[in-house]
Amino acid sequence: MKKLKILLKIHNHVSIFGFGRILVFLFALIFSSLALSQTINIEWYYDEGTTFIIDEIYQRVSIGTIYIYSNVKFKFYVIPKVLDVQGVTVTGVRIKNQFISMNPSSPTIVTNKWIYGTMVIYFSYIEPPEDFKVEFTFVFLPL
Amino acid sequence: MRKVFVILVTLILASFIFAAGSVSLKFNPNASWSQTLTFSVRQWIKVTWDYDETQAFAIDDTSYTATIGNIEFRSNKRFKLYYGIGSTLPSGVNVVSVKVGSVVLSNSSTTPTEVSTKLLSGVLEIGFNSEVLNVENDFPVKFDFTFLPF
Repeated sequence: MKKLKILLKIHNHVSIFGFGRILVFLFALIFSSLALSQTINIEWYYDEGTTFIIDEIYQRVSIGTIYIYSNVKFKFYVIPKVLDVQGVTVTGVRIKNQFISMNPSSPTIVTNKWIYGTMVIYFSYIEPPEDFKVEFTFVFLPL
Repeated sequence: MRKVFVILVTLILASFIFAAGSVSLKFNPNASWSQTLTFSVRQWIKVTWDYDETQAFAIDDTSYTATIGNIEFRSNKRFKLYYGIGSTLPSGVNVVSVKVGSVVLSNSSTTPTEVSTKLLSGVLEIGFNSEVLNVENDFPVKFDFTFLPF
């Protein structure tokens, strides 16, 4: 009976799904994130290769969910660059209900270390353009 | 406690699986990330006609053409179009031409008529072959217009 118990214990310890393994994995994850001090992480939940269809009436388009988080408080701004066409300007980049600054001298401040929500791009044009690309450059600074 | 850990790990793994993409950057002293996205304005076509489509249109017996009335195709972007004829024609009769103003429309999907000005308007004129003179009764013709992005 005792032998069996020991055997079971060893088995539990070795198992891939064992609690010990998960704990080790989790600690490794936490330590690795702590070791890389002052990082910014971006996750996006949309297919960046797709063509986004602009709403003609509002001249805006909803891109999808984006999640930006850091281990420190940060501030950031975005520089949109319209490629391929003339006469189109990006007037705003919104995440959930916050417009992101497009001015390097007054970046958007994120004191809770994360921002999460649907990203919406606002355009301005007189003549509807042919398909075009926009390069969005996000610049992050520690607060 | 064990359950909490399991849920936490599952959530972390799930966030990696469902994210379309993710990056991790170091501040040095700042960090920058670029993404290029493609945009397109949704195209629309507005068709306006000034004639009563239920009336009978007379075919001229010398030119075999019928003048229908004013029609306008308008879009917010450049477009292409071609027409098709439904199978309501009497035997032997063919539609040989469809004109809008001075523009002869294509009936081929491979070489559609290109409208680079975003607007095509004028008098719609239908040309038949000479066989049309032998038809005694009135007959309907069904026109199918197909629009394509430029």
